Amino acid sequence: MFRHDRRFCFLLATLILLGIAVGTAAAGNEQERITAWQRWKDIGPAIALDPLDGPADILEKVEIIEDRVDELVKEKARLEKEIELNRQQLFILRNQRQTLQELSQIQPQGNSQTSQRLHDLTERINREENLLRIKNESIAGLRRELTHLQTLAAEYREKAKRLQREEGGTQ
Amino acid sequence: MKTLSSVWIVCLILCLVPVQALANENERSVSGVVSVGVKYDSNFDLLSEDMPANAEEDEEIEDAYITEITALLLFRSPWISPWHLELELYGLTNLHQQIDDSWCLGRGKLYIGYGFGENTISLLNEARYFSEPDDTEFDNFRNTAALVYKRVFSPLWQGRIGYENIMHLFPDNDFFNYMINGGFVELRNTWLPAFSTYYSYNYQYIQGSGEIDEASNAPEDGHRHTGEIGFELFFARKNSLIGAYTYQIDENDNPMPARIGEIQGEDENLEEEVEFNFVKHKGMLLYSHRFNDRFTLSLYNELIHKTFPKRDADLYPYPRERRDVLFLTSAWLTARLVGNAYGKIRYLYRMSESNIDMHDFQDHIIYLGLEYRL
Repeated sequence: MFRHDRRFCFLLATLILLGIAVGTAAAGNEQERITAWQRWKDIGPAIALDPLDGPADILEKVEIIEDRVDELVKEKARLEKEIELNRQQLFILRNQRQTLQELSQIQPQGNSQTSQRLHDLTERINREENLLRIKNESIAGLRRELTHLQTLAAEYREKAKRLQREEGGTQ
Repeated sequence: MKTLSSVWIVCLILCLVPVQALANENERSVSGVVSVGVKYDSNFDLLSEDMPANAEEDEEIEDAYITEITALLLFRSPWISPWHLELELYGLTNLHQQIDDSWCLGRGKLYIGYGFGENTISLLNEARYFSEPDDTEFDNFRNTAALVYKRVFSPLWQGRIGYENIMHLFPDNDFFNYMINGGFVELRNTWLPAFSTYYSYNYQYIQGSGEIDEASNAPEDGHRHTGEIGFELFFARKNSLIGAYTYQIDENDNPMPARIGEIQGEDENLEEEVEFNFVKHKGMLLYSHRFNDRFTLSLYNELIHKTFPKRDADLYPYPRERRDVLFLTSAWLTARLVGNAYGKIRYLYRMSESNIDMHDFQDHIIYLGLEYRL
């Protein structure tokens, strides 16, 4: 009998662990989505300048950079929108919690459902704050990358023009 | 087998505690509130103007000036992890001008939650000791434990299911002791980010000594069903409105309506915690308006219609079926004065209108207090 109980406990513990793993994976997906741009295909090798590159080659690389800039701009707009929504949501949640706290003080002590709702709200606020922090970090990195690529594109364009002028002068 | 079990348990613990040592910037891990205030209560004992002619002298309506002191200490887990921990300690005392009428309350609350994704399993335990005015006859200890599973079905729907155990002990009178075991289900629907509704049903099975002491007793065997629908609304950025309608029916083996102790103690609501054999309809509304970071105004209204069914005409203590209508309205303004110091002014009116005159009462309370939030 006791051995059966033990097996049942192991089975239960395994199921709980599986549930937790699935849940944690779902939470992980959200974070991965926010930082997805960091895992896009690296364009570094494709845009690296070769000493033999002519103006046409360089302008081709500028196009690759500009395509990536366009994608990053879209991603930035999406993240900014999400951050704004997050901020609004947090504002609402914090106010809701304050009102619910007032209600829990009014209601007879031991009303565990209001207490549970209050804790749920606190956990949700923590989760939203965590997401907002990750989004803010992600967008800061994205802005740095954008500035870097835009500067690089301007430098490449400048270099292509210079080479075109030099080629024109030689002819 | 024993070694395998130990390894398994250690693995289980290691898997479940991936704590990132990263403090949450906006949440303080330790916080607290200390407050002191003065209160005027126009009818401290909630007595009726229509007392029977043979009422004793001390059963006259008396007003009271009270000093209220409260302290709250809260620890909340600051780490970001699937585990969530909260510990709350709370103390409240009302010092009456007549020392015998003073009362106090102490409470400790522990919450442990584990979140996987958006779903949560949590355990909440709350222990409370209440020392009533006058004497120690009804001083009581109550422990409430709840194990709850919350599941988010979609961003718009979530459900909660839980088991609840309440143990209520009266150290001076064992025969008032009783225990409640029950369960509840709740469904919550978020219509808009700022508007949600919920529907809940709670069943409680009550077991007590069944011994009768005058009109007070804990039933030997009882059942309580509670249904509630409610909403939470946040609008125009500064306004919150919470409302609920509750229907409750309590039936037990004792055919008489019964209550343990008097309606004394916390005055913010009209709920009577230790009462049996009734049918109750309750509506409540809490509105809160934040003018700015400094001022908040809140209004709370509660209306209760309660019937005590006449199940056994011979044992029923009233000439007709007792029906009470209870009403409470309260308004309070909280103002941040300097730094973390706040001022609070509150007016509360509560009344009962019963078809049994001796259960009527009217009461006005005015409170003025200062609090410091740590």
